[in-house]
Amino acid sequence: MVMAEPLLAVRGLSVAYAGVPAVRGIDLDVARGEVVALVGANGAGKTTILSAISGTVGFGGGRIGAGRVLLEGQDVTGRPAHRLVALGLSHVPEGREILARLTVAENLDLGAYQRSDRAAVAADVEVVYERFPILGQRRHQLAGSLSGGEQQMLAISRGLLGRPRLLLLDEPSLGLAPQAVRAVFEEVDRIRRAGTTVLLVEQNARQALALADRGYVLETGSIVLAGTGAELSRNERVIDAYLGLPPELGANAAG
Amino acid sequence: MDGLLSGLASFWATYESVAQFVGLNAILGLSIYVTLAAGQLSLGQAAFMGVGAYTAALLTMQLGWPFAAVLAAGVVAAGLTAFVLGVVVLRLRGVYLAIATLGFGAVFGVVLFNLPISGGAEGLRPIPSITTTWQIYLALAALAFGLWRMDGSTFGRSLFALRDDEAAAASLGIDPFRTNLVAFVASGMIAGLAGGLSAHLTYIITPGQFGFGPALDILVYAIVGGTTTFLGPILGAALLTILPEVMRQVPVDPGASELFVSGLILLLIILFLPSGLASLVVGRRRRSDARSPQSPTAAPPPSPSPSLEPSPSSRPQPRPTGGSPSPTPPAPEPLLAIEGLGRRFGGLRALEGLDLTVGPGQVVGLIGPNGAGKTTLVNAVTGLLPPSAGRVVFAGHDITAWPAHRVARLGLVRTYQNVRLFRHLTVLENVLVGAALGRPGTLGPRLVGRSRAQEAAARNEALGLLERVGIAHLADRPAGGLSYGDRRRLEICRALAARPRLLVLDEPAAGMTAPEAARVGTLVRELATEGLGVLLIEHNVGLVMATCDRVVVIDFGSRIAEGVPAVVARDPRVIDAYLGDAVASA
Repeated sequence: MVMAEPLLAVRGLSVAYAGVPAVRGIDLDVARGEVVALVGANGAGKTTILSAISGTVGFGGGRIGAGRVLLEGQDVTGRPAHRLVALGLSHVPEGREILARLTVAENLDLGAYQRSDRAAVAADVEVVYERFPILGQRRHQLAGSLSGGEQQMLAISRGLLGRPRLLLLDEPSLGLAPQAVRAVFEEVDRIRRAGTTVLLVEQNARQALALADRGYVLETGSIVLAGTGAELSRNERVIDAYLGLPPELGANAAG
Repeated sequence: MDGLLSGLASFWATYESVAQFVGLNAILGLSIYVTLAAGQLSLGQAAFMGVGAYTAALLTMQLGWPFAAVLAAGVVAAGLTAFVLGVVVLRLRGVYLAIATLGFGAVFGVVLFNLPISGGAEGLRPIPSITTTWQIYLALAALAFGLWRMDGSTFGRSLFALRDDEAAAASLGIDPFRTNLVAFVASGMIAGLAGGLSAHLTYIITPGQFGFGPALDILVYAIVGGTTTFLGPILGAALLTILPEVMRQVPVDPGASELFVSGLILLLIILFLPSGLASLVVGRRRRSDARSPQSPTAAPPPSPSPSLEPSPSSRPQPRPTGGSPSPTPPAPEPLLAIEGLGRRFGGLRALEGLDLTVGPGQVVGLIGPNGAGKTTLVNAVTGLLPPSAGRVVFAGHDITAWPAHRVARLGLVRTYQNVRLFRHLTVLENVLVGAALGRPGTLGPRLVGRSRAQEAAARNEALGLLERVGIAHLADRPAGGLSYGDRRRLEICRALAARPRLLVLDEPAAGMTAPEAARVGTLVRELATEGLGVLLIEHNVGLVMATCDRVVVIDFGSRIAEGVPAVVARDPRVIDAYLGDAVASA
């Protein structure tokens, strides 16, 4: 299932915050073109794994204690985030983190900060405005004035403007109304069909696993289960712990 | 033996004045610590010191008052000055406050130069030398003791809370302006004491001693020493006072090189000990009283400790000011009544003509698309944002446009959509900030050593609440290090600790797995049966439907539907605006 040399390979990764371990020696692969979901309870270490991969874990006070992060076989462990961006890695963080006091257009422009092909960037921005007309209409408004769903679309679009090979998405449906949640998952699906590889962290485990090719289940910093999205969706342990019963409590209404 | 003694005596003769200045500067460091603890940057400390120094010196020279009386007068004068200045400038924050206090220092300097009584540029002399080393250290010890007790008190925590997040602190009943003013006046008084002591040590005082340079020095003591514990400024003042003396002993080309080396040492400290010298002594975190969860042994046993038991029945104590006596039936009089509420941002109508009521023991859901105005509604009701139209009545009071801390004190407590915790406090301390609402403060009892029972009771209750939301095992962690969902749970817990009559939860289950979200729903139902009113904003529609007695749906700032969940879920307008087709079948 996993190709000989995955796009992303994580080997024995351990991360701790002020000595408290958050991730304990995990292995993880993401092959080209895949959508891989990380599922787990709060505090299981999902966000920490993404930030360790993207070189931002230090901003939150975390330290990589052991292990390696390999991007196309190249050891990039502990590289600063801006250099990883140059290697084709884009991280859309939890809580969107759009720049609220910049305009929509400025936010998008910063997504292409390391690109020099201005004409192509402008074309890509136009594509974003076509796909999300509301962003186009509000291109000169402050990003902070957008609704939550619009901000999330802006954050994902900004992430894509770097033309990443690997997109890390952390909780893209967080705090969104049901219709906006559906739009986010449709967008992730479209990104996958466009050929971008995605590593997805999502509390909405039902939808994440329905979308993902493969998934990993994390508990207290360790991977306890791995499999295809469909396998994990049927796994009783996963259903009990993450999908929840009765289903209407977990469905977050969209699906 | 005699040789040793006389050696010590001559050593002391040489270094006594250094010791005196270490003590005085440490007192000044403590004076700025009080404002920095609350997140206020004051560059007026040297001027406050000057007020104390000139007041005390003039009273000694002209009226011959006894030393204790002139010191007290200097303290009072500096405190009054800080009060008047604080009333004017404490609406400012950060850099702006620093500039304003700096401006005050400049004005003070001009006044000293021009008033006949202050002796102009010549200053005042001769001031009798009265201050002794032991007096300085007695004052320092007393202040250090007071601030040590302050750090762990309800007042100290309210300062730290303001430093971390002013809006969140106000939402727990802390009055930001008043609390900051108290800290500012206290800091002025401490600086005034240092001024009185130093004036009677140095024979002469001149305006330059209280100018810009000294004001910066005082800030540097606190920054180099660290501002997370009262020990920091003391250590910083000691190092920065002793260092130049040591450098003077080094027999390499005096002058510039000694400044260079001291500067280099400072730079290294800032680079490698960003939390200051104090982090060498007390570790990276402030020593916290959070450690021993229960210490009923020494304390006179508190009446059966409230909620050690992690069972759902462990209920926060009803507010002493008269909570709802009959929990269950929704009273005819709603707890919260919102009438015709409107809010505009420029030309945009974020809310218009909105009516909404919540009764005691009721859970009312508020749903709507992103950007519909839900959070604006919460902000307008809880005092973060004055409404432009309409009325808010809570528990019989018209609270329209009340400030956040007064709303909270009346029993209307909220959480924030984007989670606002006190990041540098521990989980337990966050809850204790909430628990302080409406309770007697602990600073006074802590100063006289009679706080144990009170603190043990508060701690036990806080731990009980943490247990109830399922994060008691994280009690001693800094809140900033929690995962997203745990931060949400802590925020709910902190709000509950304030013993609200009505709880407003802004997306409490965001970022939680389905089972975790379901537990939030169970908790909300439990709270409602205990008589609490809950206004629940949530996108997890399953949770809303399973938890709420009534659901209000808004879109574009206006109500589009209201009713019991099952009916609202089938309302075509709601399906169209919000749910989509998915839930209609569920």
